[in-house]
Amino acid sequence: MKKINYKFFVFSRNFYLSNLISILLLLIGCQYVSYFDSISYKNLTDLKGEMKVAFQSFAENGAKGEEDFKVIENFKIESSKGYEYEKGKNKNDDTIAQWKIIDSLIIETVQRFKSQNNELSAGYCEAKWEILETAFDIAIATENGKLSEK
Amino acid sequence: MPKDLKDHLNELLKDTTDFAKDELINFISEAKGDSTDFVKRIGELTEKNVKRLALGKITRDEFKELMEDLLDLNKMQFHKISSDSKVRAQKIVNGITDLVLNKLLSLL
Repeated sequence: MKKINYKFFVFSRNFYLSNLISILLLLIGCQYVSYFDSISYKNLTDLKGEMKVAFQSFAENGAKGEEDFKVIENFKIESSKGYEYEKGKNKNDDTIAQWKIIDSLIIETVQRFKSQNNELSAGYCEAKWEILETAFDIAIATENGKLSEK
Repeated sequence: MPKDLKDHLNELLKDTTDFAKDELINFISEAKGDSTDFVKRIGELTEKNVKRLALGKITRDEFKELMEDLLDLNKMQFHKISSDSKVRAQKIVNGITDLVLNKLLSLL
């Protein structure tokens, strides 16, 4: 009786162990989220820095005319490039969604500029920058929180 | 003496019942007092935009857009939390991988 129980015990242990190993091996190679990417980080910080300088000036005097329009339009191009870069990566849904939001905030600004005879008030620019800055900070913190690829 | 949020709301809402005003003031106050930095930030931005509207620094249409942008910030934060959760799960998987590959299999 003891012999049978011992064999049963060994069989059960090996059965469960092999199942556990199979499950764990399935997990190996599973990637849930894209790795930290220094290019992504730079795209975010560069764009934030450039927009900060421009919007700080707009917050004092407003944005007006062709020159200011070109500056804001350029931000739209840069954010579009950033978005396309992220779209090309696997397991990157959250970062892609964040770039899409940043892109939409900038597009909104461009649209308002055009609809208001190429003009944005200082008050609006000050407030909009606060929104954009917060958005960038969240995206930068998200990228910073990712694991480094070994 | 600088005006506080209630004064600004009084100017904006004039004949609106006090209930709506107090509710908004409480909402902003609670958000600003929250332990989460993000929620505090939303409270601060809400208060600033209400004040800008009251002072005529932004139009009603701009105010509407800016307040809707706060909903976008919430979505940004949601995606950050989602990404952070996935990173934590990845760390666990990586840890298990090391234990399985380096330790457990070598014992069997």
